[in-house]
Amino acid sequence: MDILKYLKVILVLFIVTSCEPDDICLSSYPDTPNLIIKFVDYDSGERKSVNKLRIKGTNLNEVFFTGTTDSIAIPLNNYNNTSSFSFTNNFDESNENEDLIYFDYQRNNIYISKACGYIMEYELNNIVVESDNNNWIKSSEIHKGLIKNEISHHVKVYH
Amino acid sequence: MKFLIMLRYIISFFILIFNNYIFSQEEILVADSLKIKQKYGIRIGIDLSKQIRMITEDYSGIALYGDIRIKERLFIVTELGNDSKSINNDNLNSKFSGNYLKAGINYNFYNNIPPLENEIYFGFRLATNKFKSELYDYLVYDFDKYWDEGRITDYQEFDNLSANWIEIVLGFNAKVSNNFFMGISLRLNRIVSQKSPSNFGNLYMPGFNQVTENNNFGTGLTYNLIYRIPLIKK
Repeated sequence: MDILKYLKVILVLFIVTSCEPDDICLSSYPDTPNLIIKFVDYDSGERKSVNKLRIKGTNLNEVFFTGTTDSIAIPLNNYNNTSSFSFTNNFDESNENEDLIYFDYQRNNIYISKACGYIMEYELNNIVVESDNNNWIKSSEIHKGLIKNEISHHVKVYH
Repeated sequence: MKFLIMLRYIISFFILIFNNYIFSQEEILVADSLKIKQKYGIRIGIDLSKQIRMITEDYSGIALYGDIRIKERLFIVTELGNDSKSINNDNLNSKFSGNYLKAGINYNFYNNIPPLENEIYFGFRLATNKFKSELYDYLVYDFDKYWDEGRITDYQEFDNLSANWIEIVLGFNAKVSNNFFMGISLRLNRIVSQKSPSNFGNLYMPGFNQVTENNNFGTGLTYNLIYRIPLIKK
């Protein structure tokens, strides 16, 4: 009987499709993008490293980063339209200087898949550096307001 | 998961039974030249698999079955029902609920030895549904988790969702007493079209069941309890 063959094919397909490979979120899928900051010289506009930079989210206990670098990717707060960070240069030295910096943005959740759920994308509106008469951050500039990926820097910080 | 294991168990069981039926049938092949009075009529039924699922998973629903025998081996079938299923995992909590309607035919290819009235059938359905999905909360997919405060509660409802699909059915019905039948059917579904919301997915569709990503196929299973309203005899 020819029909038998078809039925067996259907049964096999049935078993195959019962498996659910989409229950696992593959970590190769890009996650929520971080804000990428490039540190540049205030006078020349050239790339310039920050000596012994320490980054910590305001009101958080955990330090996000410590080290000397000319660029950094920082995570924005997904529960709020503002993230505030403490940026300290020359950390743990005599000329240590702490500046507070605020990022204002809008959040857009983007559906990815059943297993991965949602990622967040941001539209950066404003950067404010709290003035304390002795700021090591001279100024800042939004280079790319739409934070959708981590391909290039979004913000320039002059020092 | 429990349901899947159960499903596999049932499938294996079914394959076994099915094979035996076929082989024994080929051996027996009776020349049936006698005209015997056969009962035609409308049959109505309920799909008990829904009630079983209500015990084993986060689900509720009901399904009704109806068929009319139009030829010796041919039945016109309609099925309608309501499904409400929660899909919860590490990253999101959601719910899908709505109604569906299926219509099609069953062809009984089992040769009964009179006066038996069992069926092993092969069927085809056109199916449609209308449903809504609800998103309760989600966790942002973010490796850093630096500002982690857990899930974001952001209730959203997506209305007026729908889908059309076709089903290939394989099943059997056994007569358990006068005018009462019980049966199992397995279905292979294929989506023809679906309307999904812009920022969420159709993870489950009433009548169609689980939707797998980037895959138009789905599966179904029914346990029918059917009553025949005796109308005509031929």
